[in-house]
Amino acid sequence: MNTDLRPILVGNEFAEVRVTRVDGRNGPRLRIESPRSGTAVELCPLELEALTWQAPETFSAMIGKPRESLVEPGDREDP
Amino acid sequence: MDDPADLTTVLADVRRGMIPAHVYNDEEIFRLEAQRIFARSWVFLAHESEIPAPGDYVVRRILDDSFIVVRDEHGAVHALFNMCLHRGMQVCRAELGNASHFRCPYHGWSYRNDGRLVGLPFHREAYGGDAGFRRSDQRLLPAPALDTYNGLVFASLDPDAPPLREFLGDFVFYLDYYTRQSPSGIELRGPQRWRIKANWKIGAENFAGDMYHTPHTHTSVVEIGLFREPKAEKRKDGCTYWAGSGGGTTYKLPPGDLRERLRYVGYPDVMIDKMLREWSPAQRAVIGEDGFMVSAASVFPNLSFVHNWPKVGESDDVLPFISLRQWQPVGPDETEVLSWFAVDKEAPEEFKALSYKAYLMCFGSSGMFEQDDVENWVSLTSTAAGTMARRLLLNSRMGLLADDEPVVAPLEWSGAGTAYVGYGEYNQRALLARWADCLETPVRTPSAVGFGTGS
Repeated sequence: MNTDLRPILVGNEFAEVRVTRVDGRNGPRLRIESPRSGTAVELCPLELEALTWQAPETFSAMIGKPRESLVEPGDREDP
Repeated sequence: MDDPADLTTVLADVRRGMIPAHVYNDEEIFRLEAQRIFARSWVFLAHESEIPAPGDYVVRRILDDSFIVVRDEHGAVHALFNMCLHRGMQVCRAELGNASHFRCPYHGWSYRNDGRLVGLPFHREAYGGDAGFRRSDQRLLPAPALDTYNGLVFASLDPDAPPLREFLGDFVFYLDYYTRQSPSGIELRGPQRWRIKANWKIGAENFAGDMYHTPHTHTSVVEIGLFREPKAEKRKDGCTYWAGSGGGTTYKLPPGDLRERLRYVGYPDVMIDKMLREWSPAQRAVIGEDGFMVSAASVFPNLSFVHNWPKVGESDDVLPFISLRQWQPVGPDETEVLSWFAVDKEAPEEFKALSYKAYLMCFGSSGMFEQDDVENWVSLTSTAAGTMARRLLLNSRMGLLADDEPVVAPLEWSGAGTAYVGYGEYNQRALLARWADCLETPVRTPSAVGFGTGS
């Protein structure tokens, strides 16, 4: 697995994240890490494209449930 | 004041141009100013060019009230009281930034950048969900009134304040010289921000009309050859004007037409062409026919402007700059100065760079004019605190005869408001008359608002 060694840092007074392109054997993902909270996610191109479809309300809903998943993990969907 | 009769006497003295010296350093007066001037007037917060993109914000104050001045995702500008609805923590602590959402550092309540509350941690567990705290439609408290003129964002803490345009009145005639030299208006750099041990009114009065101090206080600026204008014989040829909520000073320019006079202060033709299209016939005539060029000005209560044209290089060529400044009261004897550089958005880049240099040489925390002025204001403020200052009425009647008739007849010209040529304290009196009108009128106490209780 190749990792682009130059992460992008994006921060303001509320949050700071490290964004890195992670090249796997069969394709890339975008890794987003929050060093302060120790959380990370690796998003594929389709997940990233899906972000571009969202209204600000989606992000408000996500931010409104800090440190939790908007949808509970598992098979069932419980918004 | 403990005794209302004392206030009545103070205001009567101020209105006849005899200023009780203690008003420049007096706890009781300051408490009244906070309630009756700053909780009522339209106060400048920011310029739209400081928050050009969605999510851009700056944090600004009206006395002790902190506001987030922010452009939301749809481009609308808001001034949100910077206090979390839950425990009152300041939601934004950085002076500026860009964010789609704000998150309170205390318990993590989060707000969209239009002020709407979007989340409180453990809503269901802690409050029983909406049954305990109705989350929808709650938002950071907006400033009671918000409006803009030429991109200048003003707020008033009085929900019944007259419209901003009405408040500014005919002063907008002059505001356009500073803030509308092309259809795009100005862009700001700064502010530089520092504190001085001086009362806030002194700067506002000085910029409103004090042409008289220029040759004396700023002698050194002329001596080193930075500035070609402020010699005594030049300054008294200018006029002062008062219109609506503000007034200012001008310089009389040498003979010439409008274009020649704008060139004389250093504007390039490419900018002059736009001014000629943008300004009204009367605005053009003030310069082109009457021969006056705006310099310093103040809008009641605490926003000032300056337009000067120093030499910026080795040659005798001058170049103009514009600065906005705010006298933000901290206490009766302390003021936070906010000083911005302003320049027309459409100006050539080379002009912007030189104009910024001109500004830095004259104003801002290192500017020569600024150093000269503040020395006087600090001295005045400190002396105004004592017992003797309560016995002294400062004479602010320059330009008036004993029978209150003006020393010279009002100027007949194309400008708005009332103007007089030469030295006078017409504008300082006009500003303090507004101050007196506010101080004698109590403010209605607005009802408190609470959130989330469902009632």
